[in-house]
Amino acid sequence: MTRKCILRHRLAFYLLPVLLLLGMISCTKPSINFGTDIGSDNSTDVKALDIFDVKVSTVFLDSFPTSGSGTMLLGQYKDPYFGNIGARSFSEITYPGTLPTLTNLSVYDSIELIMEINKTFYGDTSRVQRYLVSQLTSVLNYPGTQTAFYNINSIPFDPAVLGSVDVRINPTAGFTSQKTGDSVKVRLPDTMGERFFNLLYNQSDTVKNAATFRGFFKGLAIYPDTTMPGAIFGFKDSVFVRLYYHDPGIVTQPKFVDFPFTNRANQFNNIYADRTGTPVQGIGRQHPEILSTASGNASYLQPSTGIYVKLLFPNINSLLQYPDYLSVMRAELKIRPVEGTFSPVFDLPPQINLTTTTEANTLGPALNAGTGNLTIDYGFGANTAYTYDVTGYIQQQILQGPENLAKNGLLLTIPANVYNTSFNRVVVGDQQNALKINQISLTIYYASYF
Amino acid sequence: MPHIFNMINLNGFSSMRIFLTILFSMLLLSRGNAQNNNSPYSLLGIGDLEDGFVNRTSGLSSTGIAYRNSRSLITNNPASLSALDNQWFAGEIGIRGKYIQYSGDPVSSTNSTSTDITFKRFTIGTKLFKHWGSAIGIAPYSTENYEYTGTKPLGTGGNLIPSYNEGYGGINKVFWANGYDFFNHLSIGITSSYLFGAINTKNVIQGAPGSAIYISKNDRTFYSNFYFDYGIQYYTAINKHWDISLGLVYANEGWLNSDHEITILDIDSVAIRSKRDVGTFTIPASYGAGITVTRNKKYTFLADYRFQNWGSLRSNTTDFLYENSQRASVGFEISNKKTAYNTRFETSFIQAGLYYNKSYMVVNGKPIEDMGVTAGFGINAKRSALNLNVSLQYGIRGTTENNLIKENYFGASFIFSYRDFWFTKGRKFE
Repeated sequence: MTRKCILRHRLAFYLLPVLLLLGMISCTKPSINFGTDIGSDNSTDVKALDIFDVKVSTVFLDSFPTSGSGTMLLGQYKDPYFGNIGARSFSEITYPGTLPTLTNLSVYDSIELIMEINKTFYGDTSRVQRYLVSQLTSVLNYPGTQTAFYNINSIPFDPAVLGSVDVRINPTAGFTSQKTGDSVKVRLPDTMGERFFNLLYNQSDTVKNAATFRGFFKGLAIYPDTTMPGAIFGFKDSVFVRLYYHDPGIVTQPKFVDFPFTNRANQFNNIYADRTGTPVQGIGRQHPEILSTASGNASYLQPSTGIYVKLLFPNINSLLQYPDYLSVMRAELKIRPVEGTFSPVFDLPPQINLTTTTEANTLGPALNAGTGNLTIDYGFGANTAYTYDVTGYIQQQILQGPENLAKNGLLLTIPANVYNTSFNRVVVGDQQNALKINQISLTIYYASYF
Repeated sequence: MPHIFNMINLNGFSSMRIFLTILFSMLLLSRGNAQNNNSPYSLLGIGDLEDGFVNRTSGLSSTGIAYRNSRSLITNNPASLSALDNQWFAGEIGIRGKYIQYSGDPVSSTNSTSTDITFKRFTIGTKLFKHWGSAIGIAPYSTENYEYTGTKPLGTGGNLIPSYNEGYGGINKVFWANGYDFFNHLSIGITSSYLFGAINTKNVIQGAPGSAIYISKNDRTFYSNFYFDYGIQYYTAINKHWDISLGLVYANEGWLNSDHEITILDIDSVAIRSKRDVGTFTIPASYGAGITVTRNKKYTFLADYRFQNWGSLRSNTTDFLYENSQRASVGFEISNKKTAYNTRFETSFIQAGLYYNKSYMVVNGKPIEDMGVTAGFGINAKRSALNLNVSLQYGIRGTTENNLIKENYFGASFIFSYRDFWFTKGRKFE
């Protein structure tokens, strides 16, 4: 027993300092970050390559729905790169929600159409705009099997103009040359006004039943005078017709009744583009793709007129053949608008998405690569670019064979909430573009074995 | 005297058990315990060279090229082994705990200290013949232990990606040191070592911070070869009070055979490339000289200078360059002795030392210097065969200039030694 005690005692005496030290030991190494200052002789190198081909083309996509967008697009402008672009709107009004009590002494005064700008625009806003209003000769029913109205649809309307207005709009300040705030008013004919007035006075069925009213007044076409190009303005879709009258008395009481906007889902914009004389004048349903090399080493993106830019990376798979290739660490796509093709009047889309596409231009899932972080440099143009991290996409694509790479690529799109109401467009330079600052580039950073 | 014999036997037995317990627990500890200290400077070549001997000279800042001691196994200069007492057998274990406080721009402000404890040495030695002292042992020759993050250029466009580096492992030395005494004034020694061990490094580069894209490069190099170093000591009494000893050590240029294997893993799991090659790593020639003077066999003054020709090596990175290493140290020791049974023996000692070491590397244009002070004491137990020697060290290594790291470190070394008669116990009463 004694022996054991001595032993334990002495062992403790010798090991005590060691145990104390052990107690001080922490579990983690201190954190050290050398930044770029100290490399290690054994770290893997990363090399950059921008030699892979990017095949750029302009593609024409089929029509797209424009109904129910909440926006009326009206106007026409001339774009040196995209042609004459115009938009007109078709919408419905209905009978007043509360019928006024008209007496045989009530007197009709006037009738006008009122629409409110939504402050969006594209083109030259300094010009006087002429808007014309006509009555539809056919009701707003979706054609054929369609479940919406498309940009290419149009509803027949009476060529006789009900009314027109010449107006200059300052959309950013929110007022017009009519000096009635942000509203644009179009005087309509008194014959129409008196007819509406009589219906109200007679409390006719027409102003009590929506279907009957629709049969009586099928709707409105509002369109620009094509001889006066300026800008396309956005208006709120809630256009309405206001009828003014008064009841006699010692003091005349001006009164009005509104025929409000209805069937929002049916309101749509017909958008047309005349590309004659532009580099992509031949594009259309019959000829849906034009290579950038055939259109001035550039391609043209304007989703609201149905033209998109498609990118193919036909030979990135050759990276796999590099003897030192280990892995793609990052891939960066830089899309450069051609210098001089954009201006504060012909603005670039603030956001462009990348969406996968096939040979038939069937859109696949969008890439989660952001919207391009556009930087605009009007001074020299050299720094104007959309930049994307396409690492994940390129990692997948390099594994594809050349057949697939020749077919499947990326389509530049603009975000869904604005694609059918925004006219912002971009001219994308290809790799053969005469100016380096206009050239699209794909840079692949790969980990190198050497 | 059977009673005394009994006591000695008892104590001898229990001391041996304690000694072995310490030995095995230290071996287990050094295997099972991760090394926490982070020495980014160890990433060059074969890592941090262990130039501090954890032995009797620890408290003297490892000054001992000319040092001779009859009780301790000193391998700073193999020639000193001939000074061992005849008929004695000794075993020593050296361990060292080190606390480091790191400073400099790269160091995190919240996580800037570490402590670890490592097994540094196990040696057994004896006098094989009257003039021939011999010791065998194992000790680390170099250690590599670092972990740091950084950034790496992505191509030439100025973009950076995160990188992570770690290295661990080291080279061990199994040695057999011999010293032979001629004419009671001259000793010649040789240490034959076999160096072996693996150094592992890992570098991870990531596509972007937080990205799931990363490539790790795992290098493992196994080094091995024989290595020899030589020493000579000349010692004499100057007069009645003063003794002097002069020492020289030398090792010619040697090399390690390296077996190098690189494996590159994608996302740390799928091996995409691997390569194996063999080569050599040169250990440059080294030189050292020392002097020791002793007054009245009690007060000892020591001084050493060592030099190694690392400047002859070429680095394959521009961040690190080799330069010749130099180390100078001085020490002072007071040894308390007592006479019993007609023999003078040491009961305790205290030591102090200073050192300055210009290491073999230049990082970011700055030579890495290491300097510090040491103090030590030792007690030779009266009734036990077990002795304890403790030395403390405070030093500064590196600099905070040029985005480098300065280490303020505090070390404590423990040398446990077991000492008993060799072959026959009866000789003690000669």
